[in-house]
Amino acid sequence: MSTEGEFTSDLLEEAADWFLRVRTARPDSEVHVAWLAWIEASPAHRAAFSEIQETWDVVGHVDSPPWPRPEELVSQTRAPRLKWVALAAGLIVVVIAPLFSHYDVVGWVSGSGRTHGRIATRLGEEQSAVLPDGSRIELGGLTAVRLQFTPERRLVIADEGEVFYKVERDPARPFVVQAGPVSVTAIGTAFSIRREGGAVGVVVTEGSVNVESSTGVVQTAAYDSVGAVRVSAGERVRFDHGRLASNVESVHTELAAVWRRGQLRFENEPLQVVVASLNRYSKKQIVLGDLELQNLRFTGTVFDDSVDDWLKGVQVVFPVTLNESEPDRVILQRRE
Amino acid sequence: MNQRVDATPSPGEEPTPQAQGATLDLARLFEEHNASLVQLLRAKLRSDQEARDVAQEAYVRLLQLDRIGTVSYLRSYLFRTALNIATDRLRSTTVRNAAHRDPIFDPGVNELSPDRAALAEDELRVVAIALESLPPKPRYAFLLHRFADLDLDEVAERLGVTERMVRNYVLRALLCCRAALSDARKKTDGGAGGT
Repeated sequence: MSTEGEFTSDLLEEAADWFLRVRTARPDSEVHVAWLAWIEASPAHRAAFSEIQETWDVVGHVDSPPWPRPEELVSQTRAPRLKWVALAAGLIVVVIAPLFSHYDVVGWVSGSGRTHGRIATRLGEEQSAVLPDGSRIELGGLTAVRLQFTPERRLVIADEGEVFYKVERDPARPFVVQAGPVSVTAIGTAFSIRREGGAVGVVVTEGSVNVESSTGVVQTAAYDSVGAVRVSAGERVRFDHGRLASNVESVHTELAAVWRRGQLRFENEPLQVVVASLNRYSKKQIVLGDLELQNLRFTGTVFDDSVDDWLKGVQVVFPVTLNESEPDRVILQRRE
Repeated sequence: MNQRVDATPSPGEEPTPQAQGATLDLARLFEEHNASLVQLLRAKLRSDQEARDVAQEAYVRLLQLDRIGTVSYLRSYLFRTALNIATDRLRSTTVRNAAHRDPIFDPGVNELSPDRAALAEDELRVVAIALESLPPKPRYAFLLHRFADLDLDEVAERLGVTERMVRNYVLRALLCCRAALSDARKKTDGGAGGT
């Protein structure tokens, strides 16, 4: 029998994404290493990738491709789409702006190894910053962290949002991130933390970290840990409903890194988390109109400048409809 | 490979143990990753043949190294070498074809197997229709990348959108074509019974 149609659309999309990435990557790029791990992880990956390659080849044989007429390119762009594109262009400008010009650092006091400060982003904004110890952090939209560096440890308090950390190695001075109920300790490694209120996900891209949960709701310096788990590169651990998941899942190796390039990538995430994430980029806030929708699982990539497209797609994937009766929010409702 | 060496011990001709071990490592490495390497090169180059040539050339270059390091080092070296060769080739063909590039008559492109060739005409019509169904900008972005050999950043500049947007356009276009092809083949297979 034919193998056509045996692939899930997610897998094909993933394969196409890889295809474009390896096609356009420079020879010395790390993309190829990540790709190799992906393609050799499963025969299904390889087959899906071949499918995309084959499609690419067949398309190349089309005799006279339907080039759009010049007037089509000007007139048929819808106004809302233009606005999204403008927003995207704005994002780029923000990202390449000088590092220290844009985020508000409150009371950044440095001296004898001590630094206190705060870095925050606005809706739809992304920021990167180099910390006093040389570590690099990248913040997603509507995200805030506080720094409390002392000679003994480098403490970051993640208030909300998504942050990618590339930690400068210093065994004598551990790098600790407190994200609400979870505390992550690293020495020299790269990981990202997505925090939506009480739900926290930690994904490690390089090295490994220790993740601990604390019993109390209120954070104290001497928190009483009820469980610690070691998370290595390519793995994710979640904290939700008041406890740390005991199982460490393996995830797409580049999962944590992808959102930094203007894509939000979700792998088997509850819809609640996905929506909270998208709301960091969307001017129209997305609201789940039904509690039951919270735990639907979503896997896929959303471009932060095309949340509208995602909203269209979500109606196909899940039994939901959009209620757009209010001007500044969209309500996802269960389809009857 | 080990067995053969053991069965015919001829000390005079045997290479030094280190060199032999390294060559074996390399052979095993190549065997293990050759399919992936060719697949990767294929994504960049125009034909299977060219991809296999480049993979082989990279392998030969590695064999000529005086000292061969650890396996993980070798693997990244093999891939990087192959990709560098591919990039060089691509650059020279792009220059050659820049004047009037017509992919239909590019001999490197024609990789259809005979049974595929029979289907090809229908399939090409299906793909052309799928392309036409795309909105102008995504279609333009995709065609510029596929047929005019423009890199994504060049397409972005041409369209006045971000590179990320272009990537999105091209991705969607590709998936749209694939879906159309898949549908068409399902119908064909339904009639012919398929294999």
